[in-house]
Amino acid sequence: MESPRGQDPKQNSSAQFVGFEIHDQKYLFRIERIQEILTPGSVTRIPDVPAYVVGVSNLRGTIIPIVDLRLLFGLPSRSADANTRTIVVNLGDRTVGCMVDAVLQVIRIPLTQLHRAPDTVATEGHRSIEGFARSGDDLFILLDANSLIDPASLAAAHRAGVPGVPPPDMVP
Amino acid sequence: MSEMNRPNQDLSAGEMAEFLAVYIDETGEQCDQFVQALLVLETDPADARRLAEAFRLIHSIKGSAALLGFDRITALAHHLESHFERLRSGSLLLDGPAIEVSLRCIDYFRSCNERLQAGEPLLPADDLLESVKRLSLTTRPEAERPAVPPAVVPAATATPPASRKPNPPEPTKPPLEPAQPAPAEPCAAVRVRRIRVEFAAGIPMADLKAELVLARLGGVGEVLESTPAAADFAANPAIRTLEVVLRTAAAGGPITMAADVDGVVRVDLDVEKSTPPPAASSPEPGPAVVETMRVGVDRLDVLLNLVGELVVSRARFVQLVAEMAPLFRKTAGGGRQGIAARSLRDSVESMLRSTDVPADRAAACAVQLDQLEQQGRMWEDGHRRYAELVESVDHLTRVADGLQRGVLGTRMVPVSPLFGRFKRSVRDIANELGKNVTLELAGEKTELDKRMIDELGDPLVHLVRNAIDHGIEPADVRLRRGKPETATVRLTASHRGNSVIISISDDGGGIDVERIRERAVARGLVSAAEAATLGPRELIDFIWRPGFSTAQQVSNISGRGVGMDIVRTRIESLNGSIDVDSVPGEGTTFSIRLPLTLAIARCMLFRMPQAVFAVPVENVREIVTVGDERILSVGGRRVCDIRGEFLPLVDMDEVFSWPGEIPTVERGAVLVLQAGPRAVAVCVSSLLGTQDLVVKSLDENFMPIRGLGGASILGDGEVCLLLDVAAVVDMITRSRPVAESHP
Repeated sequence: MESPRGQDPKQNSSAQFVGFEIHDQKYLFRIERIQEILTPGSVTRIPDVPAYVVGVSNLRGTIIPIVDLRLLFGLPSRSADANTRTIVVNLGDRTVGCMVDAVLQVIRIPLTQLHRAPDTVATEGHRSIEGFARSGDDLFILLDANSLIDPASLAAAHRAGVPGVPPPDMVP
Repeated sequence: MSEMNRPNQDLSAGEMAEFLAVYIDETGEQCDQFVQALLVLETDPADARRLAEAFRLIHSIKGSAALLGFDRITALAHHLESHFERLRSGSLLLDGPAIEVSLRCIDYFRSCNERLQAGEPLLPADDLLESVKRLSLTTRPEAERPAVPPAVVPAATATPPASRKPNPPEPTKPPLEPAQPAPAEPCAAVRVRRIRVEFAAGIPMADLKAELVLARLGGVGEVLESTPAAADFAANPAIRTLEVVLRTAAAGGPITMAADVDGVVRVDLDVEKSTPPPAASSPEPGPAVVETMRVGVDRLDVLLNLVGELVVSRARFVQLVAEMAPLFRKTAGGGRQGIAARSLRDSVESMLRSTDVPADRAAACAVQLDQLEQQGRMWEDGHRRYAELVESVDHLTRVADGLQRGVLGTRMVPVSPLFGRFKRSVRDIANELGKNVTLELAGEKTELDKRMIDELGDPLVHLVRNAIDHGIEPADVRLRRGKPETATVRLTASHRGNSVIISISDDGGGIDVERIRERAVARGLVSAAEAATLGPRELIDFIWRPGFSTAQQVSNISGRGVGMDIVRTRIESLNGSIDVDSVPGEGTTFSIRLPLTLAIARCMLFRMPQAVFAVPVENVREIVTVGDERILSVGGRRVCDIRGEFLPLVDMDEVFSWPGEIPTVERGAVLVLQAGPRAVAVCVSSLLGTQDLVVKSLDENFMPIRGLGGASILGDGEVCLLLDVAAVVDMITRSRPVAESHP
């Protein structure tokens, strides 16, 4: 098995990715980031967080937050179906679950097929878009899981008053 | 005079056995390390680091032995320590004979350990003791009687070893000796009491209230048994009386208070049960010693997670079996099928005999009936298998529960052995200082991660010594101030939200802020003008400065420069915090707040539309049902009358904000949650009872959320949220006026 070396721009080298789908758009996570893929289990809601943090789940004795990428991307929420999956990603010492519409497959993409995101894209609040890749007829968006769902930035987003989160002192 | 293995009269047999196990484990290790150090010193007798290490080790051994009252070991270690003190300070050089004698001492300590393990009395070591004493004499006779207290002053910056020695220059005998036979019992006696709690007739949720009573009594002592047993509460939802056998040092008042929850009409304490079952074994020659071994904490963590998994799948099995039960009930399909099949068989038989029905049709019916009957037999078989399955799942449940308890138990230890050590040291320190001090302990059952307990020893010793030395006034001053001559030092432990609070309080004179002011100015920490503007709280904060001491003179016990800053650093290294509260003339309380990342909290669980919540039972004051007539609405806020007290009444969506729609639900019950002096009432849709929960942090993978102390995993794998009651109460009481500014 070749080691996936994402950063290495050598000819003939390639990297492995996990493809997934949200709202008919295909995305990629680097496979090194991914711990496992689960069918969604029970999620306990937690208060005082942005709406896209749908709650916390028990992953073999550890509590992990579950982020609905649909809501994170500002898309309408959709109830889970047979294809819905939770991708458990490792972000350094933290583990976070990402709900996606469907997981497609593990894809090997030659690095030559990977295109960096143009600066215009990267600056417009889409820091998490690392690049684009074509595989067959499909165009994938490569996401940087780390900046996408960095818990610190979630907390910051919350403090900044993310839409959909009522202020803590609001009273019914 | 043979040395008994249970010389410390303050300790019960059970405690002694616990301490012994720890003692043997620790000293065994320390002996090994000591020998290692000696081996290095043999080639390089001036190795300062090794000398300091050897000194520290022998000092620890002495301290541990003294706590357990092993006077021979203590005396030997004491003299050996003195010798090493001189070696360390450079006034003597380690020579061959000293190494030889040291090794013989280590051999003696090890042989003591073996004898202790076997429950045999310790052998005398008088010859060895003489050799150790001679060590210093032969080289420098005057060293035996130094004019200044010999100990430790040069090492003031070193971290204090397990216990600072209470030894002034030895007046021929170690000071522990006279303390030994003193019959005085300064510690509150631990008694076994039978408590009867009567509930009002026909109250709702009596079983849950009984659980609450039991849990609260568990906070003031150890619940040995209860009638009915806790496991049977659910089967008796209309419990009228609950009898609890409690092993406790608490007085009647706190016990009654713990048992008196809403719905209780009467609490009786009768003090019979003259032969307490667990303590009855005390006259045995020596408590059995459990062998211990050390295991890496990370291994235990792995085990803990695996067990968590196991418990979750066990719960799933239990649920599946319960769901299958209707399928296999006798009255269900299968059972009735048998009856139907028999009557059908009769009809078919008569059809076969009859000439009205065509023979082929009757035969076809018979074939189908055969198939039906075969199905029935399979069902019977399934029924039998199901019974076996139920039995196996029961067994699995017991094993999994036991395993979980066992694994949890490996990490969590009650603070009682830690606290128990102070019975002896408080008496010794008090004797030495000529003060009369009673030690009160509470919440000894509170469990803490083993590592915390290990790390807490030194800071607590320091705080307790400080309390006795600086806090408590001399007897004449106390009498003049109208206080009882005997002072009280209280050590308490309790859960608060996601923390364990350990507090050390004394009823002494309080911190003298004026002296702090003087010292702060004298030491140049603030200008005189600045100091004059500082309030008591700011002044008290100076005690945390390195090297700051208000002691007028450095005593053997405290004020030696091992300052409060070290205590604080140590607590903070455990992710804890320490606070001080001092009232002039009334006393000082130090509160250590420690996180319980891995601690287990006994919690009351309740279900809300948002989630299942858990509250530590220590924070649950009452479970009440409140009729609408007892709820007042004041400016959109609800207040309810609970036994004559008006408390804010809130729902979970008033405490927290929840994304999305939350359905409103019927108010099932009201929990009165208490944190310190403040209480709030929380509406609950359904109560699920109490359970031991392993508290997991939310910020490990996410971020902390104010008001939540963490989360825990329930039997079915669902995550429940643990309320940090102190924060919740704070949020409610604080947010109220602020929230009113919102339209």
